[in-house]
Amino acid sequence: MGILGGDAFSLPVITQNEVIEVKITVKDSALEQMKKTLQGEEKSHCLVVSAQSGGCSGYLYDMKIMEKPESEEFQILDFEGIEIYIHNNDSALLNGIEIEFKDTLMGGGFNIINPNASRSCGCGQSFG
Amino acid sequence: MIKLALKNSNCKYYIQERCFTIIDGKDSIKHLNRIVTSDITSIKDFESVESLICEANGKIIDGLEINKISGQILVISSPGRNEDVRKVFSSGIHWNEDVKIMNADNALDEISIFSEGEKDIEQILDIKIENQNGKQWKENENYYFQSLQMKKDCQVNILIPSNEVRNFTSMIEKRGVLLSNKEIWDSHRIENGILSNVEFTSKFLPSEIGLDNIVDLKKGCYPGQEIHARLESRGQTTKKIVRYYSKETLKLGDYRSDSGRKVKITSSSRKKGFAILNNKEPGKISLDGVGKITIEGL
Repeated sequence: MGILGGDAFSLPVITQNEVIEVKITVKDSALEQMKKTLQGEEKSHCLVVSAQSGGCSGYLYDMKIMEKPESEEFQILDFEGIEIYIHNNDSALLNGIEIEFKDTLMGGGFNIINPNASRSCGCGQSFG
Repeated sequence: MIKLALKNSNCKYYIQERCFTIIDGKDSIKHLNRIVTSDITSIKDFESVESLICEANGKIIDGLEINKISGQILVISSPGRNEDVRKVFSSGIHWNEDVKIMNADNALDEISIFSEGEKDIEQILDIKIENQNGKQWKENENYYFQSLQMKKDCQVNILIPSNEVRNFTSMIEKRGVLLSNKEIWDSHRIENGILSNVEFTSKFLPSEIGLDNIVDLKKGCYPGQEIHARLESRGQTTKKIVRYYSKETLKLGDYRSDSGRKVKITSSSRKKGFAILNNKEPGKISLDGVGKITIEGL
């Protein structure tokens, strides 16, 4: 399988991700909304905030409420019993972010303010 | 069977300067598709897709050839910006995705064999050239090949493990293929409209070097898409790439035309080359310190 067959297993693997201890801020509006969304499932579920390649500016935010992942590669941040998981690979991109919630008809929902972003696109979902 | 050297063969070969990155894992196409300008979601095995990787300001970081070979993604890029390209590939892999980026620079090589017609190449390599659009790889012995019928010549690109290169080149030399130096290769690619690493890595916009055709504005967001879409809707590209012919072989660099506009020579060999200049320049212009050059579209 693959162009080099078994020899591909010996190729150097490239990893660029620097791991740092993450600190984030969650505004009251966002915390209230997270509590409403989790509805008593705080013990089994968490909010995973991550970044992935793409979007107009280079990276896209991703937020998911899901069962707590068992991987040890996540940093767990507790906000009044609500746990936010951030993967080590995303730590440099997401350190220092501020999560807020806007209750508006246009452009409402969770919003991330990222001090590491040198630019962001019009939709607010992409940063770089 | 011992193959004899072809008499009067006009075939030449050139060992390309390339970077090879293997992207492995079940989510490799999904990850890569979020980064590049072409839609690669339906790439088939042994298919090759040309694409670009751009900065958020729309300027090209590098030109890529994305290949799917035996189920694995192989990206061929320019050596000048390999660190930047691999940095983009390896960052932004979603925590839940299975993607592994591997450096195959010391494991693979690309060799181009070119001649006026395909017959000589077919005889030398003992292959049948059928599809000549350069988008399909075929397997032969210990290498893969793709063929391109260009404006003037036929070219076959060989993808081969690095440890097989010496045996392969010695075999084709015995069959009458001559090693080409950079000057001969540059002359061939300029005549046939093949861009070099210089054009790809000099931070041009895709439209400035005639690569709009590998920018897919309907595929969704990728870095640079906002700028490309704006340029496309407003039609405001002011530069173009042309082939020029001159009385002397010009040095690469910046010149001024007789109208005072900047002209950038990006490729040059044997009294011809590629230049990036203003859209408004006519078919014949004079450059400072050089004299007249004739230009034509690619």
